[in-house]
Amino acid sequence: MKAAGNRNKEIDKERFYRGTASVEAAPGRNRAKTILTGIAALLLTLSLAACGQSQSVAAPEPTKTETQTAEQAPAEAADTTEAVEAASQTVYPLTLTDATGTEVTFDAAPAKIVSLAPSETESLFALGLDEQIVGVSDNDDYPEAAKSKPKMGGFELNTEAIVAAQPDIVFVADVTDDATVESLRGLGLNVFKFNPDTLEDVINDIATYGEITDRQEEAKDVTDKMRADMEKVRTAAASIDEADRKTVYLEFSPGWTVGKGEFMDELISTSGAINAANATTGWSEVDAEAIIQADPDVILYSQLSVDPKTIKDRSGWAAIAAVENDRLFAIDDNLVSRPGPRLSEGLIEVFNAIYPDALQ
Amino acid sequence: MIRRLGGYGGAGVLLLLLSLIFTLRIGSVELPAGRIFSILMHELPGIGKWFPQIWDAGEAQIVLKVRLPRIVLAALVGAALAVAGAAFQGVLRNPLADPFTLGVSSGSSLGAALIIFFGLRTALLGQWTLPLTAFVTGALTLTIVLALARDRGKLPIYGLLLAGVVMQSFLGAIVTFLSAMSDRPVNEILFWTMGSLNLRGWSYSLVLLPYVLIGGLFLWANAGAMNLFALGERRAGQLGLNTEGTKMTVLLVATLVTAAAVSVSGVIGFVGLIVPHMIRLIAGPDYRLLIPLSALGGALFLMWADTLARSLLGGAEIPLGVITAFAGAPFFALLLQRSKRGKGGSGSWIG
Repeated sequence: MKAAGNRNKEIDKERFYRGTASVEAAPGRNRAKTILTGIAALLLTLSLAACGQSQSVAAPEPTKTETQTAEQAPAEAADTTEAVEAASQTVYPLTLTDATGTEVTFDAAPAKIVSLAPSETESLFALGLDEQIVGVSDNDDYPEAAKSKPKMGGFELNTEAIVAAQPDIVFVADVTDDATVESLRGLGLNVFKFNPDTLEDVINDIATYGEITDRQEEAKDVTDKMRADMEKVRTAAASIDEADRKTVYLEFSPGWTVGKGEFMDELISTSGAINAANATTGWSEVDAEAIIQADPDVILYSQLSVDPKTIKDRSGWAAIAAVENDRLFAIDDNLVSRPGPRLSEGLIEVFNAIYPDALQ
Repeated sequence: MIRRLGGYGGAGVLLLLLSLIFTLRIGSVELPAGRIFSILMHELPGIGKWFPQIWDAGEAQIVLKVRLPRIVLAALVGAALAVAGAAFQGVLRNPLADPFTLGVSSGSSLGAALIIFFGLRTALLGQWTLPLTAFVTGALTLTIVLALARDRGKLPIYGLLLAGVVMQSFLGAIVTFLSAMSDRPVNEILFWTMGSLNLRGWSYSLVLLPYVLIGGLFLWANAGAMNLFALGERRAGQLGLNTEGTKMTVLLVATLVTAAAVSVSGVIGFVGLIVPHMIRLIAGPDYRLLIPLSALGGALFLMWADTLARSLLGGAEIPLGVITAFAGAPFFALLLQRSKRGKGGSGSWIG
């Protein structure tokens, strides 16, 4: 229903633009009218064609049952790791279930890829897929080469640009909601969504990218490095005395902190520290009373958007240990908030800020 | 008059103190009443030494630098908005006038949003940059709304409301556009459209205090004139009042008071609407009573609204503007219904 609605909107938009263009071109009223009628007929055929196309791609009936089984199965993660260990060459056709519970089949390694999130773009570049990437989101700025790729919109996607890029696959992340995924599928696009919840998921997802694009060797190099980073931090964290565990306060947007369920919280706990806002979930406004009582030893803040002075000068925060001892550290936002290949670097940065010199 | 003011005012002040004691106890960190009392007493010169410090430093910070300043700021913002609302209603003779419905709040928030968006928070005039910009845009908005609503020298209720709504949605769209353009995970600008008193220390109260004190006293001094306005502008003129001059200065001062409040708290709607009407129901239509009592009532109202905002969901904040809108919008509907039947809150409103 929703997809159909969006499609109609698209067509309306198109009709609107074409309408104005043709009126400008045609001086006579009648001529304009005939042209408009012609366009209307054309659009009708086009929209019918689009309907037919969408049915063949996202055939509604059979997927329904498959979706249910997919939801019962734990996730895409389990079987993909097995596959990585088993073979380093992908056998097509390959069918995988994505985060929306939809089965997506790949007949060959995708030659044209659109990536709609910074984390995904980073993962794809890490696998050396520079040539295959034909579109990225407005927010993708790493690696440098991502900046010169065609832009497909930000939070509001530029649907026309995506369709025009004729991608074999569109990779989307958590920021693209399921309704948008459905409407993209309705346009005949092959969409695969990733939505990792943990560091482990991120690593498994990179293996999945490798499988889909037949870059399993490259993927293994990336995931091995990430696992090694993680292991290094875990070992160092395990050697820290229970009594020396630090409490950490995070501020990655002015006046907002990060609680359970976010990667930053997992980075803190993996580092063997305690998040001062661990009573909250996700992003929430700072509860000054709770933070002052938790008395964090270390404050980590966003390099991009937070001025540490505003934290230090905050009413009543002078008594917090981290402020008293001036233990406030800027963290590269992109390292700790993007579930991509650099997340393990973020983990090391976080660990080093909390426990300097503890890593060998 | 003075005796009634003393009676109502005394009751109001008493309620305010009681509320202060109650709201100080409410917060995400549990603190026993006795300890809060000791912490407060410890600060007083002279008797402080009778209350030795048995609490840890964090607890004292929570009471003295987080809770107390926030409660005081809520009282000041509430007083500012309520007084401004009463004054708008007085000189415009319109029961539904209030800084929010007239678009002044939205205008001020646009100014604030521009300042935030371009990162100019402390440019040029230091901490006064934001309030003054908010004032200018608020005053401009009011001018436009009044110009749009004016119909043959009169300001009809519906015209004024429509003009206010139009300006609100237009300015709201600009603010939304600005917040869409900023690419941070949490939107600072959005805060202006919802109102909040979180993380405000004493410095915010200090900024607001002079506006509320001086502005409030000025408006109170004009209460007699507002009583004359209630008779109709022509009668008021015949009785020797410089109607245009008074109207303009009162509107200007009320806008300034509103803008100062908005600049520290963001947009908090309906306070200036509900409170003066409540006071009218209790103490009658005399503006000499209405203005000071609205200040007290507004302070009380927002103190409690903010306490709900910070405590209803445990540690998570509910935007303050949401709380006041829940209370205010139904009330607004009721007033609109009554004014339709031709019996406004009090006195003779021009419809």
